[in-house]
Amino acid sequence: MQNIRVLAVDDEKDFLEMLTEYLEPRGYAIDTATESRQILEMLNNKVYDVALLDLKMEGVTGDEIMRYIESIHVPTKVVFVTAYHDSGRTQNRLLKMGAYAYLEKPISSLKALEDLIKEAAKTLEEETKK
Amino acid sequence: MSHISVYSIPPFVGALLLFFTGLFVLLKDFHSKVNRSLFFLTTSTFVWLCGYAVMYSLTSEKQAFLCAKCVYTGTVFIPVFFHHFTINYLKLKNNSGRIILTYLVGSIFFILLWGTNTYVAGVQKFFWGYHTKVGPAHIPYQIFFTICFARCLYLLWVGYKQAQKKSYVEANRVKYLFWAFFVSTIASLDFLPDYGIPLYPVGFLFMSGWVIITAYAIVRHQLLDIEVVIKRTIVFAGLFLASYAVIATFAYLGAALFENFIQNRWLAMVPSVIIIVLMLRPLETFLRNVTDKFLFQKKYDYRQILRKFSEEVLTFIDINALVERTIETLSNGIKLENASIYLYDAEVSEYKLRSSVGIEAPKLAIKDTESLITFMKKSKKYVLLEKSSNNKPLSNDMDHQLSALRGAFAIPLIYREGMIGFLSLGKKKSDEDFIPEDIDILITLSQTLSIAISNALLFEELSETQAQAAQQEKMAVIGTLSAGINHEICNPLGIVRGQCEMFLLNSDEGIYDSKPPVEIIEKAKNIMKKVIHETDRATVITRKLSSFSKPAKGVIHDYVDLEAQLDKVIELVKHELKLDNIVICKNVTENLPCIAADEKQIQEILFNIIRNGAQAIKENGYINIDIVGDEKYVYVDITDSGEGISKENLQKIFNPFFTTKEPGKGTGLGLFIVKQIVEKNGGRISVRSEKGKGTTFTLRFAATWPEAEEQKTI
Repeated sequence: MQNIRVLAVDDEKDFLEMLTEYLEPRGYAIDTATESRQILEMLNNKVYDVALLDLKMEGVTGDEIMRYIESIHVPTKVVFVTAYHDSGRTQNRLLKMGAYAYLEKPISSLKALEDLIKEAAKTLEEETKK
Repeated sequence: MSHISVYSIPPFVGALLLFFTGLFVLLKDFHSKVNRSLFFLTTSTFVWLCGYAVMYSLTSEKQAFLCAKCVYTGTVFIPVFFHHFTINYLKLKNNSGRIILTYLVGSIFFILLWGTNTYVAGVQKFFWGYHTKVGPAHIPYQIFFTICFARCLYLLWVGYKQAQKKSYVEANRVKYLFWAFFVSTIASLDFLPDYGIPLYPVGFLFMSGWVIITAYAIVRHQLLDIEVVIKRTIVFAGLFLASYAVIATFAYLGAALFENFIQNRWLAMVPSVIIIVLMLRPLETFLRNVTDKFLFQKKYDYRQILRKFSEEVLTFIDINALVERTIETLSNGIKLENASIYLYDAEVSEYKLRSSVGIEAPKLAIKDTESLITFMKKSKKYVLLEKSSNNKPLSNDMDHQLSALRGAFAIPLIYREGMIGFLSLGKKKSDEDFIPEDIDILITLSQTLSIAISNALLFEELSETQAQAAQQEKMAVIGTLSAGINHEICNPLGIVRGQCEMFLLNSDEGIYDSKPPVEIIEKAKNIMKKVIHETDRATVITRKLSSFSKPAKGVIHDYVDLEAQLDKVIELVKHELKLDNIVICKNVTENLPCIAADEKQIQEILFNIIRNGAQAIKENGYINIDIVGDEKYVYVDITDSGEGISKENLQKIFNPFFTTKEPGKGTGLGLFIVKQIVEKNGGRISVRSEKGKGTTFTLRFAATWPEAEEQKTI
């Protein structure tokens, strides 16, 4: 199996660093970005299996990134990882809009996140096979 | 009697003065024994003086002799009535025997007077006219007279000394009485011509002295409990005329003097007239001051107090300021040893001390079941400690309770049939008693004060409700902040948890196996540092939040740094604003003065306005905060790039429960409360807005300069 390609977007650098340190040794190809221009560049240059998106960031929102991904017709699965809590309202909205999953920070465990990424990649693979 | 001799006039005037004084006293209280005996005394002196006034103008010896007997009809009874009056005035007991004795002796002389010629023997002619010639029976009378006068003066002096221990006022009255009679005693010089010594009888002079002293004691010290309210102008006019008469006499005498040098009598009067005219103004000013200062000082002070009350004290809406200023003004104005005010606390059924001056350890509360309270409550009347003496035992519980409060005079504060409190006033510093006039004024004042106090209490209650509403509003507002706050807490938590988990999993799963231990330790240290950093970050925001959510105490500090308060608020809202992509921009001029305010309330004000702005913007926009200061004021402009407010709504923006927000987004109390808080902190708030362009709130607070204050103290 090819390395799962992950794009992680968050305005918390430490969070991204931690993700990289966890996912990289386990065979994931992870790219990180903190600001909008960087994000767009990466999305344009490379196709990702999974995008981990924060919801509210300076200059750009997770919503917008998801819509952009849709607009460039790449099959990337979008997983929101955010500290934005509003009793599920945003979560429902985003899932309806086609997000693969919505995780609240602090995430319950890195293992669970990894499983989720794997699952998403698997779903994506199955979908492309069809 | 073909003409009236000039020598008749002075005794006649003296006689009239005496008679009318006596009559005045009698009419003031016909039923008083004291007043009646004084009337008899003055009548007998009137007979004496008036008799002589007639006698000096008589030309026939026979008529003069009859007149002399008339004169002595009065004179005989002077010591008798004086004695009687003294006993009555001093309320001396066990003296009825002595009184009867004097009347007996007086009657004997009266019989001798009319029955024989041994007492009044005849008349003799002096330069002023006929005068009595006395016989041998006059000598025992003289002894009787001396004994009576000596005893009376002695009794008055002793009475004065005793009254001093009891009451300053009473002592003062007796003192004046003593001196009045002492002066009148000198009039007994008039007996000398009776024995053939040609000394013009100047007794009228000393009797007028008696009248003046007595009248003064009546006006100033309510002698014989007579309260005289004399119009200032009348007293002034009287004094002016009297003084002017004296000056005019001198001027006339001066004219006579000049007549020696200047032949024309009219020309000789010119210097005198000039003197008189020149004296006019200064005399008037002098007398006006004298009347104001000595006779009408009390009323003058009261006017001051009343003015101060209506203009200053009663305008305070803050209950604490109101009671403090009331007590201060009362104790300074009436010069009281102490004063305190107690207000009812329904929760504990007590009257609690709200303010006091002049008492070191004042009683803090008095139960509403104590007789002093129940009496005032029921009767709605004041309680006056009758004689503010130290020796006299207190007559009842009420007096005991009142003196426990160190008061001499308690006035209930009645509002709508209820007693909301009472004033406890201590003795006057002068030790004078409270006179009916004091009481009248204080009662009237207490009525107005009651209204002012109940208004202030109502306002206080309202403020409390407002404060509660403000607090609720604040908590609701914090709820709307939660997204930002959550973000600020959950992000650090996410990092902390992730970093630790990552390290544990990596090492468990052998990912670090190939790495040298030094590198692993370095990695672990790095993670620890991050954990500490992120924990601190979360702590900061929770601290800010909890400090902000505490209710403000409403305590005004003199030098509050507005910018620092703004920074605190920005710290709190910035995460939320960041999430909504709202840029907050702060411009503060250099050397910004401070303001006098409650820091927390200032934060609430800024917070509310900024949050309102953010809500108006919704997403993507800016909030500009400009703070400028000048000598007098500090201005804060808070401008948002929101949708603006329509003209129609702008007028209603500070009304309670007015809101344009969707249901559930605001109670509408926000700006109403903001305005209340701004005004409570001595500020002003205004708003201008244009639909589609945004809104600017302007706050204005009075500037305070801590440096200037320091320089002053240096």
